[in-house]
Amino acid sequence: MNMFYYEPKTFQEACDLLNKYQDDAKLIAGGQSLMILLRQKVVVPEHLINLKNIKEGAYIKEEGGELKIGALTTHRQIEKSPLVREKLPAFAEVFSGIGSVQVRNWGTIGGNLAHSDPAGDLAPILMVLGARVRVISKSNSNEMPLESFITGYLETKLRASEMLQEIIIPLSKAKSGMAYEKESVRAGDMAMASAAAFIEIGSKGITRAKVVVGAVGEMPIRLENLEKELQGQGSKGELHIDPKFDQSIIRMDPYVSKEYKYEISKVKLRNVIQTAFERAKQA
Amino acid sequence: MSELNVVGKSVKRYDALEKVTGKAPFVYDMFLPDMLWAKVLRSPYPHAKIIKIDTTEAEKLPGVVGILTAADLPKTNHGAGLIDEPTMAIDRVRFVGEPVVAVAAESEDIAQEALTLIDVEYEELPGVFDPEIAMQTNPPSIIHPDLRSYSFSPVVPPAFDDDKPNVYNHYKIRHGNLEAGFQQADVVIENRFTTAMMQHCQMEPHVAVARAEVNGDITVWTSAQTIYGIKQMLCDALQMSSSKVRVIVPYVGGGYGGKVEIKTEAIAVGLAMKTRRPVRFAFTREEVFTSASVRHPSVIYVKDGVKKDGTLVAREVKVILNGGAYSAYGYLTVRNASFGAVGTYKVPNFKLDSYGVYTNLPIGGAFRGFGSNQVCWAIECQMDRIADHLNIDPVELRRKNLLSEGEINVSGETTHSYGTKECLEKVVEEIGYNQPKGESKGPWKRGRGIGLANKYSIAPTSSCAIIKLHDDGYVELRTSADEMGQGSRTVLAQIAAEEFNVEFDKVKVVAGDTLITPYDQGSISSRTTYNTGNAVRLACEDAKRQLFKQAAKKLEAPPEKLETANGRVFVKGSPDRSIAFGDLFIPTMFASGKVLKQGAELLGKATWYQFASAEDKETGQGTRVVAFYIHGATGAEVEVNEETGEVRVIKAVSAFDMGKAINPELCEQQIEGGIGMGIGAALYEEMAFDNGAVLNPNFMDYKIPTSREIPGPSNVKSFIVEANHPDGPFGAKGIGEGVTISVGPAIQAAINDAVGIRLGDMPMTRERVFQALSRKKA
Repeated sequence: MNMFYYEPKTFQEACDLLNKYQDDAKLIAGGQSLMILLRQKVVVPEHLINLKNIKEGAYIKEEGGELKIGALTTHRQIEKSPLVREKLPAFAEVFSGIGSVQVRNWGTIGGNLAHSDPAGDLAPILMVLGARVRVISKSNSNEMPLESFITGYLETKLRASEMLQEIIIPLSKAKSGMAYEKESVRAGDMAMASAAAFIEIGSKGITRAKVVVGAVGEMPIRLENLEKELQGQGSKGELHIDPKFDQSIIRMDPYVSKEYKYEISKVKLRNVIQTAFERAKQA
Repeated sequence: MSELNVVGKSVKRYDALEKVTGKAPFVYDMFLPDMLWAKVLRSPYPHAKIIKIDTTEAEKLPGVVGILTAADLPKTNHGAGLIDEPTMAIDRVRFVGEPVVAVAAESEDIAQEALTLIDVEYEELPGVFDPEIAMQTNPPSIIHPDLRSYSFSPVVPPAFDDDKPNVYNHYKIRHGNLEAGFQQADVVIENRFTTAMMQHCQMEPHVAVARAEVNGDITVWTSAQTIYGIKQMLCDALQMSSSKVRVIVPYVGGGYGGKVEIKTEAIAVGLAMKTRRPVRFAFTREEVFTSASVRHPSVIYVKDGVKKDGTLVAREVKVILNGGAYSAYGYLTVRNASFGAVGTYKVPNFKLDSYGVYTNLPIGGAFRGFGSNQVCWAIECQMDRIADHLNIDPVELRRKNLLSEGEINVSGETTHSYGTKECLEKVVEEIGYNQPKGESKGPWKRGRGIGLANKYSIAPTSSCAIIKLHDDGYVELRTSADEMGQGSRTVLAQIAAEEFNVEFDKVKVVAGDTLITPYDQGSISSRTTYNTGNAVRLACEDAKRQLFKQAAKKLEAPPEKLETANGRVFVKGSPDRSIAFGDLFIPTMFASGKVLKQGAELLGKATWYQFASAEDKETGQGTRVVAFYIHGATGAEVEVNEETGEVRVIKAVSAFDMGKAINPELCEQQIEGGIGMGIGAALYEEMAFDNGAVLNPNFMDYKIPTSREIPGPSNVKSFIVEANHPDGPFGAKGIGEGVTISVGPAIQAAINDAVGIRLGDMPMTRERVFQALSRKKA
């Protein structure tokens, strides 16, 4: 079967193509996940739209107390960005664990989020940072929290005619810290368990905590009970962390048992909360 | 021995320039004019009868040129000892991935599309996957109902078990008096160990290009490591006489034991004969996992009787190898795996039973180590448990039980060329075994451990070599030893250069063409340096005889008074009386080169035959059961995360005794590569299955270690020990397979040193480490 291939140069051109071909089209933005699915014939699009030539889609800038990253910015560009390293050093750190340098030279932040693999490294940390995404189509443009953008295993709110344009990360003015950790078989592998935490502290300990467990469920999951338990903790420097969560969310995995995933997720959760707290104290 | 000029030197690889410039030929890069592309429809069931194959729709697809099923081929099997395997499934499939229908088409895509148009009707049969269930008296399925009627190699006849219908071979060793031994023991310790199924993961997948010649001959280019074995299997499978089949093996992109059977060749030839056009059949990476051979998963029971001081007095071993659907090279693995329990330790009373068991899984075949990895894993882990039980240091326990020169091993052979002790002491020193452990950081705990290895090489076996001397003083070596990256061409050229006292670059190697190069058993069993090396030495001697006979007349000296160096023949002791090779030739008319007046060529040829003694079928006793033993030791330092079970190898050192390092740098590279492959087996690699189907047939899900899982260059160290072998060329034995074997046991011991747990199942995944840590806490 033939596949038609396009290389639009602007978001508008890409949106026009999407509008025309709708469900018969698939976007490729680096291809580090999609190429595998294409090769395995899990995805067989009639029209493949490669976004690599959309120059306006790759940028990192600070604007109005927020960090704005174009959806087509590569992992490597973010990892090496002095701005990201200055404003969100813990976020910049995450990238060194994604695949290899070759993978990071191709893979993009938008591609990663739109693919919505629960074992992906970016969604958990962006969720705790309260990131929003800008979704565009031929005639519309709107923002939504990343948390509501991700809807399930390889599923998002994106409709057939829509694509990601930008990721917006608010920069906290409070005394804060963040951390992400994953457990993977080899360095750079997809996570078998992961966790992210963001913590703001004041004179009476933790004022705000956001905690996400990744990789184990259908999608990264906010642990609001745990966040509540952390509220107000740490005024004397010590945290009491009991990172239990509903084990029924854990997906089957052919190589790792659910029990192990649970235990290891708790280790990751404890670690990220502790690290984020320490970082907040030093901020 | 006189001083050596080329042997023992790390000369630059013979193929270095070709390989770094990307010019070295590999079959995967090969395309012939007018060539067709082959694809194979494979069994989706682990065990089923084939009721009907309908290819009508596929034949109609434009671009499809030929379709091949078992009906097009002779109804004959092939095998590596037990002749049990059809080229394509005949009326039954025995594993997911078995070839059923092959298509040759104008393009790869058309061939692939044609597969979707083929309809095969199956009737499912019960599958059996667990070897301990498969070897029961009444197994859920009998996988080869015709087992007793299969033909076999007269050199190693099979031993079946009357009450175990899925056992395709049973090897026994009996030595001393086991019962008496256990009676002498103060303690009896028994454990069960397991290892996982692994894929070789060669860089170059299996591939063959076949051409049917107009006279009915066939030519096959293939990526293989047993060129003559492939030729014979093709002759058997296709019922062709041997001179009609020509096999050519250029460079091979990795073998590790996985390229010894006709996985691609027979189908490519069958399609080429049917279509009368050249056919290329290349495995995808997924096919390498589902349809090439694998390392046998094993279950091994070891029961030892020990004195309080740690002296072994009795050992009973039961080895169960999960052989998959066909015996293939695994037929011999069943016997040879046993030698892992023979080559290292002194055991006065010994009993071993090794079983090869059919199951409905991919075919267990040769894999670097050929069973020794599994058995040495069990034996080394068991030694550590004995040490724990008796509260003796594991290294001390080993020192106490090692064989010594002149002692009889449990196969009845006299121990010699035994470098184990030296290897052990070297790694004890280099890993800092007795030094204080490094600081623990948070959940990360440090530990060190030692493991030992031995690896036999097969006997009886043969290699041949031909030497041709050129009029410009060059020495040409013709060999069928397959170059799969291990450096065989380099080592063999070094031996020829040494024999003729010429510079290394004055030797030319012609390799891998059964029309031109002589018989060789192949690059298997770490045998090439020893066997082909010996053949090269003998062929050089033969060539020198021809050379000296011709030169004797010109130099007016008897042949026995002559010697050769730098392309000239000298009268011994008279450096002024010499003649160049070229001056033995006479010029021809029309300046058409030079000719020898008599004998046509200065040609030497020789067979090296490594004999084996008679071997008692009931006891396995003989005086020369194997050609030689490689010995070695690995020391590992690890960090273990007590919270997650993750293991990181911080440092690994290995010392190996290969008799004599013909090329020390190549030997060190083997040892370093072996550490990497050993880490893969120890911590990561395991093929996973669901009802016989491989769940992880790709490099994302099947985890081979990357450079980040292997310690950096300054923390991987290799040491050469040379316990010269009296029969080896310049004292050399082999090296290639030994080097992975001791890595797993050393890491196991280091994990125990770090966190106090004993693991018995490889790979030691972090979940297994985590579970053992949880059990310890509970």
